[in-house]
Amino acid sequence: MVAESDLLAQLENRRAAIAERWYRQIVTTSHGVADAEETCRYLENLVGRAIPALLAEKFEVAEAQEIGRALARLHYLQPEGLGRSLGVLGTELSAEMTAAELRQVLPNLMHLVQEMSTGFLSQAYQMILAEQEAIRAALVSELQEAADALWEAQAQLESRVEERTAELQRANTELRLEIAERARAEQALQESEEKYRDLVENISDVIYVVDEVGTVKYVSPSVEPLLGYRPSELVGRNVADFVYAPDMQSFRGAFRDLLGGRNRHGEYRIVTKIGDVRFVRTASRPLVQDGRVHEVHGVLSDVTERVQAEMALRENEARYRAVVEDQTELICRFRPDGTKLFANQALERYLECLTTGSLQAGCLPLVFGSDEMEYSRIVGALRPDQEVASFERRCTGPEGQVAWLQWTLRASFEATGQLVELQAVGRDITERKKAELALQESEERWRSLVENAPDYVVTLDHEGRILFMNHLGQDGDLPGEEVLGRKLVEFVVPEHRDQLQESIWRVFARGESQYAEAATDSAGNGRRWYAATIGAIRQDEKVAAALLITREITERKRIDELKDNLIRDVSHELRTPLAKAQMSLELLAELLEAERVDRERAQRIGRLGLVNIQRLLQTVEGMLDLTQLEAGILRYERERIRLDLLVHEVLQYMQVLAENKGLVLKAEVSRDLPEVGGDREKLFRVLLNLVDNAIKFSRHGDIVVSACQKGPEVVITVSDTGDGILPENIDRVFERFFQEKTRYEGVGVGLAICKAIVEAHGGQIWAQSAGRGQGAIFGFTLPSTAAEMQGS
Amino acid sequence: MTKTILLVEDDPELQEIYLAMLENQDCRILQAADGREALEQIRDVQPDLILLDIILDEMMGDELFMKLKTDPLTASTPVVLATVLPEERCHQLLEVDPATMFLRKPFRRSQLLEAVRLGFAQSAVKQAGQSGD
Repeated sequence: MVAESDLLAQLENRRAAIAERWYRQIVTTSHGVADAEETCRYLENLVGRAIPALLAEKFEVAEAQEIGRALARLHYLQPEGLGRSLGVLGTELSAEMTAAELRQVLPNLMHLVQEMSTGFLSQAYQMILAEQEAIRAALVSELQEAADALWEAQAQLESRVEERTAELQRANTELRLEIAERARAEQALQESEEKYRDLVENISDVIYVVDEVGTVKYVSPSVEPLLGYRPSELVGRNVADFVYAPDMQSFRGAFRDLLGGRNRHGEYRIVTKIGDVRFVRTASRPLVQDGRVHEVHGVLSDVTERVQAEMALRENEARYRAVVEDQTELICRFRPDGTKLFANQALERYLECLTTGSLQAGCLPLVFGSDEMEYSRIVGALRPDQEVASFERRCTGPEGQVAWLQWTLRASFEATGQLVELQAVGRDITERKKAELALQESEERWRSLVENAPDYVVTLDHEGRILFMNHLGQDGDLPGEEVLGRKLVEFVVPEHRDQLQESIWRVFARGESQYAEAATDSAGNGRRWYAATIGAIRQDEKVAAALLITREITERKRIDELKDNLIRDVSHELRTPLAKAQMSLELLAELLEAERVDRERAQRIGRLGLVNIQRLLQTVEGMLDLTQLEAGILRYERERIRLDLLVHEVLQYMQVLAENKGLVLKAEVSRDLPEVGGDREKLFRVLLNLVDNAIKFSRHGDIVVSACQKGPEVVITVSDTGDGILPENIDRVFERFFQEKTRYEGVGVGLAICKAIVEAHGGQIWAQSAGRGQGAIFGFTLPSTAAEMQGS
Repeated sequence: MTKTILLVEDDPELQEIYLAMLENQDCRILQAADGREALEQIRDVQPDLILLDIILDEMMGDELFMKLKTDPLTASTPVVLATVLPEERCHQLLEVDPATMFLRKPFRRSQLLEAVRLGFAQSAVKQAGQSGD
């Protein structure tokens, strides 16, 4: 027999080491052994109990089984690891024993292992039973809660019944009724209880039990369709292993709440065996024992489809809102009769701040206005193969403000081709429209300005080709479209082309405006003069075209020419008497200085000077008179004139002059000559002028003044036998400063003055002559007062 | 030897003035009222000087002037042109014979006498040339 004390001491010494090795074996086969230190202490305690059992002379079966049970409490859920666990224990206990010692303890060691195993299994079995009981209890407790509520309801009923009983003690029948009611309530309660039991047993939701660290202790078979794991695959694993990572934080938060003793509901995503993510909803309650949470019981249901449906709905809703509400387009949908199906916020806002108020009358007035024809025209044209129409519409708000909307209409048709719905998308284009209208108006204004301008407006390109011209083809004289594209200079006379082209080039080269005059020459119209201003039309700082505004100046040119001649003639007409006056007066001065003055000659020369000064004066006065007559600024008196008296007056006045030249003045005036209306003084001047001319150009013979009535007019003629007029000059004698014979007195304005006065009286004046030396007849007409009366 | 002046002037007033201006100048003055008369007078008497008003009635003075200057008989006869026109208007005539003297009306007696003196001098040179032949 070896010394037991030695062996005991050796084993006691190694107790911690044995426990540590044992722990390591257990850890490899167990889940959920959370705290190594605590577990090691627990195992060391078991080793401490196993050593005396090993060394005892009489083996204590009960103690060995108890150690086994204690071991089961540590890792009962892994019975398959029991063999190895006990094997390690046995190996470690006997590790440093001598052969003798081993032989001595071997029977006890065999017993120890065997009995520990028995104890372990019996304990594990009991615990599993207890688990099952706990699960049942958990389920029942849930039912119990519901039942509690019912019981409470019953209790309230009871109390009410009691109250009433107290109140109605005397009414036994009522009491009995109450009792019957109570009985019915009891029965209802019983039925309810059965119903809940049924429910739980047939429930498709998953029922689970996890421990305080989350290890699955139980899970109902309905988990398999959800997660793809059989219950046996899940038990012992931590529920956190299945939580979808992004939801882990909220899961842990909920679990902490549970460990704190509070019920929790939650929704998480979990990962199935094949890697799918599913949404589950949990209802969990902690189970408290000995003041700490021991387990968590709960029900879990698959809400994936509901959540997905919800999410899809939310997403669609959000997208729809984003599309419809967040834009400025006005959107509405309506039935063909105008009934509103939908209007977006933009449209509602639009209606609030402008236009036709509300959609109460339907959508048609808003979209189509009050014109039904418009609706028929637009909607009537829509077909299943042509379901979109776009149009612009002007609408007037309640305060008269005008807005323009552009609508795009989309129709929905049934399979039968029946129009069922219209969608209108509108956009406020008022600003654009206003700008458009303003532009159009402005364009029209400019166009009308150009088209109606009396001037010719021409635009030219850089080579002087005609791009545009107004008045094209407006009448036969004006050019037509064919001039476009041709060079402007082609239309002017050759001698003006270079200068015109030069002006055009200058506009393009320097951008300076130019003035040019040029003539055209056509067979039909003769030479016509045009004056043009040429300016630059700029685009982006560059001269893009030349704008030429031109007007015909043919008349002005003719007048210029007349004016030039006039100035020349006037200077001649004034200069001749002036020269004679000056020369004669100078000569007179010299003559008077001489020693012997020839008085007679001095007198003649002196008179000559005076006569010419007088003539000069007359010339100036005549020109002034003519200017005033032609300008129409002379006032005409209106009096009744007897021409016979007027003629005699003139002849009397001219008598001496005529006699000096040996001429005879005669009057041939009808006795019944009607009176004429007019300015006596001016008509006197006309007649005087004509008689004076006749005397001037006659050397002998008679000068006859006649007046007679011819129709509604009185005709007055002055005929002489003088020099006559060359045929080519007949038409020119009334032009001012025209003088066929320059040597005669006068300035050539006399006949022009006569013409102006006669025409102002509504008459005509003319000259007749058979030629040089054949005498001349000057005649004019005046309307008689009787004719004038009739005329008016 | 007394010199001869042909005065071609159709205006009687001017005739009077010219005659008064040329009085006491020891020369013979012939008168013509128009171009035709002037040509007739020239055929009869070769004047030493012609005083010609440029605007005449029947035949314009410039027409007469050209005729005189193209006729070998009168081409070298000095001419005094009297006119109210400015000198530039008579440019063409003066180019035909640069020796022609120009008087714009109004002019002074002294101006006329100076022109006459110069004309006579030209005439003297011409006659000297002729007698030398």
